[in-house]
Amino acid sequence: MNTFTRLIGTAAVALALGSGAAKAADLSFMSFTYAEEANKAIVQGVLDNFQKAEKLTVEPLGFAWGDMQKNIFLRARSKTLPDVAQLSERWLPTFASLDNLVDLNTVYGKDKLQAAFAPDALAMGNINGKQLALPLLSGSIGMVANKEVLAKAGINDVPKTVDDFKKALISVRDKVPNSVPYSMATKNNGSILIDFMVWNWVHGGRIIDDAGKVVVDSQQSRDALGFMVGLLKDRLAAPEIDRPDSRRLLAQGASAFYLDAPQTRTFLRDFSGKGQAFDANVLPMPTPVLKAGDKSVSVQWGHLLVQFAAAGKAKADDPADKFLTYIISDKVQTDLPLKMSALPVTKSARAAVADDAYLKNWSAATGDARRNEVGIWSNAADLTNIIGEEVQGALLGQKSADDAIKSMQARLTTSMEKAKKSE
Amino acid sequence: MFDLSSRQAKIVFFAALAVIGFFLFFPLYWLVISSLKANAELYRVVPTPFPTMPSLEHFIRALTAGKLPMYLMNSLITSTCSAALVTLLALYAGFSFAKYRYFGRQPVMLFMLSAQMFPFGLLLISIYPLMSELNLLDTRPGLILSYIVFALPVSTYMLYSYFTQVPDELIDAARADGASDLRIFHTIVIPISIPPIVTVFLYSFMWSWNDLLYSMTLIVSDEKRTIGPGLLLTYLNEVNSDWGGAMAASLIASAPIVAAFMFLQRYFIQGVTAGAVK
Amino acid sequence: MAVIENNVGAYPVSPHANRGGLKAGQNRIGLLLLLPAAVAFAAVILYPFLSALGLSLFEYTVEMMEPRFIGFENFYKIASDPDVWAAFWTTAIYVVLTTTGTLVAGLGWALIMNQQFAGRAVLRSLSLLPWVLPSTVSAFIWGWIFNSRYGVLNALLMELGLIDYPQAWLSTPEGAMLAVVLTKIWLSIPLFMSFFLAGLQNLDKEQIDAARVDGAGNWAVLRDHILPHLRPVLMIVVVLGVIGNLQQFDTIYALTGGGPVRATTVLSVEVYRRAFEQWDIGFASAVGVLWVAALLPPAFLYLRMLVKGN
Repeated sequence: MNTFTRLIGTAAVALALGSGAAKAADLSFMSFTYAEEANKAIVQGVLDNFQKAEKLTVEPLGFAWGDMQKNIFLRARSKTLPDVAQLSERWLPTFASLDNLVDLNTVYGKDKLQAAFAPDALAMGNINGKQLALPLLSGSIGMVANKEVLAKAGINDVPKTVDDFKKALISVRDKVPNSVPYSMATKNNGSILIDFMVWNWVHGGRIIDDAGKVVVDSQQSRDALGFMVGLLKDRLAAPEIDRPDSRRLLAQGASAFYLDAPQTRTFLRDFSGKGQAFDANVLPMPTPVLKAGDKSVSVQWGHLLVQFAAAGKAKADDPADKFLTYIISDKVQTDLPLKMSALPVTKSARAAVADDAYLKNWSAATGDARRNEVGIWSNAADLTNIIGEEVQGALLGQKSADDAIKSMQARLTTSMEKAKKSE
Repeated sequence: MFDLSSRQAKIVFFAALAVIGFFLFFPLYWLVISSLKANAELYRVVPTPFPTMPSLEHFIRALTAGKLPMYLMNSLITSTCSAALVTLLALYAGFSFAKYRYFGRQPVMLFMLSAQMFPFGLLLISIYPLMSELNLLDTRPGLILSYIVFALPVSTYMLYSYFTQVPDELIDAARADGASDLRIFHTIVIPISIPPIVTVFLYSFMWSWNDLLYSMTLIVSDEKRTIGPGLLLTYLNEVNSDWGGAMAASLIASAPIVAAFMFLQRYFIQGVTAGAVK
Repeated sequence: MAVIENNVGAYPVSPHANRGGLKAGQNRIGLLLLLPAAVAFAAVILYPFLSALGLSLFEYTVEMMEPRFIGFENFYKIASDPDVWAAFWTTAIYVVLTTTGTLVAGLGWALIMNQQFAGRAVLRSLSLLPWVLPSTVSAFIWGWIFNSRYGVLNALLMELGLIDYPQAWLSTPEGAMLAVVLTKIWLSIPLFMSFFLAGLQNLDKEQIDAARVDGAGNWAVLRDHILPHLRPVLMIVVVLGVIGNLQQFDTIYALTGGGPVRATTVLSVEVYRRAFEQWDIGFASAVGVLWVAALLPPAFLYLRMLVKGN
């Protein structure tokens, strides 16, 4: 009898707990930066200041980067979307068809936005003439090197061409024991995509052309994938490496190069355990080119903010829009992007931070920053999966580079049949 | 049971003990010593068999920087409540299946049992909008109710299996004294069923305790996140791979439940003996 | 109460027990007792299942706000999708390996733990540990052991001279499968051991002693007495094992994410990824429905046998 009463009691307490927690925030903000240990305080600071300035409370919803897309999708289905959400630039096309996504041109006016934002940053949020997102911070994904490791390997100049790069990798492999000279992404489809896309560009290839035709079955792409496979074979790269592993290896002096966004400096500070003292080792450099004289490439990168509202209708004095206005104000823009080691997005803020040495170096190394050619399609998630699987298959020696490219071409073509483009 | 007086038998016995024992306990040993190594020693290509310079840095960081205690508390609350709920539901259902003979009893029971095979991920696709409809999304009650999915069928079966062995005479005698069925169940049957109840409770507790899928999807707020996704999101994810921290946090996360289990395991095995497997 | 608890096994089992001796007039109470569980079952299991069954006939991707009816098209798509069939095959391999592995190791360990020797009680308690660790923790431990750069497995094998340089275990299909299978076996041994130990408790020792007098050796005792005695336990353990292994998601997802490429993409991971990474809800539902369809008939027959056996 006793046990029985206790059981009932526990169950009752269970249902009572948590149910009374009604929230009364003025708006909700879903953010992956808020879920990152290294960056959470930065976002919290912005929210606190916003509350002081506008007397509006924000309920932050922290969600891991990898879980954001899933969560937004589920919330769209259950009609519990947040008011404002942070996105990676490459996710926007996937969500473009949600009809409660606000066209921010209708809220702020196209002219005003164009006057305020740097054009490259604003373009990331523009889809078919609609401003479905405002940029939060921007930059590019390019190559980062660890100066200390380069010195150990006796490399004085950063490698300019692919051949130099390979030579540099070989000296790192031979002179720095147990290192992964280039921490190429070999795990996680999303990460593999970036490395493949960059090397494919370097070799002069494309995956999908502007018209949506899959063009990966080319000699250039075969060369690119063959190059990546070769790196792994020569133990200049290693299996089982995802972006965080690259960061950790570089931070611990066990790797010389990898591809990442400027934000990487923040992670390197944390992972090295040395804080800002580690900055001296972080060297942004132009991605090596195929032959001297080619223009170096990188991938456009940024974080966006989208607003969800019933039927996609909103006004500038809605709490969510006041929040957006606040976040793109100079006060935030000259602060938050910098703390996260990224470029601000408004013209005025960019002018104000023009002297920041790291960002200056980064911009100088950027070269030709191209739009992510997979991320602009509505079926980006599917495309990423296909590319990641085929590249990984070749890297791990399960199939030849040629077979992987052929199979990639066929699978991507099928997937592109119902794709919609966003520009 | 086995006669180990011969040399050969001894060798076979202790060889088996060594092999399975190593497989069971070495990973635990490795967990403990890895958590005690500072990063400089941890990320070494040839690992040291025990920490040369034990360090508590990972533990200190896990307890101060992260939200481990909170995730742990959340897991304890949701798992305990859902286990209590499942046990309660299974008690009545198991007794009903075992001691009454109504039309459709067996097909219904078989169907409920087969439902244990329904893919949890498939159910989740529809549970999400359901919870949202009921305003239970991102709430503990919502998660607790969803956890019923994991263990209700098997728990019902275990208790059913036990109750079939409770002699009818016991019930009939009480009934002759004028006691109602409910009263008989509460005052006579339940008190002699404690071990199987504990077993079922722990069995369903473990399902929720282990869950990653549902919690990862149904819970959004950090304050309600449970230990599985909490650990994954804090230590190994797109922006981090902190093995030392993961090991220390794992140990801390396991401590309370290990302690409770050491205490309850006697009942657990008793319960299994008494009922679930006849 | 303590007295009753400890004597629970001592109640004579009624000859009527299997028939259920309660009078037919009480059946309404029986239904009433079933009601709470039935309601819960209908709400969180049956309704979602039927709803998924319906969705399998719809096209429902992230680009669509409302699902569109397409009949059996999802199933036609599956028929020509080698990835889905591969997932069925991978699941079969995973379930067979984990279930047999756990059966053998769990039974072996239970037999060992049933023997009298110094330190047995402590070992027995410690044996339950793998089961009570959150599955994410188990995945962490094994991921760390199998780690290609810092893993102890590579160090151990190199020390023994079995490999020349570190292997990226989780990057080969076989290595990744081995890792997820070992992890699952490791964390299931305690549960299986408990069930087998329970079964061994009421083994008739006198019968075995008699057999020994007749000259039976250890092997004969195991084969002729212990194993036949454990048959009912074995049956339930197989069901629980197969169910648990079929549904296994957490450790695989945390350890390999279904990779490398698709080598450890079992059905649970496949349904999850189709639904929550590629947002093809209709297709994911169809895969899930097919999975249930493949399993339900044998499961139903097996369970009926089990219930009849009671």
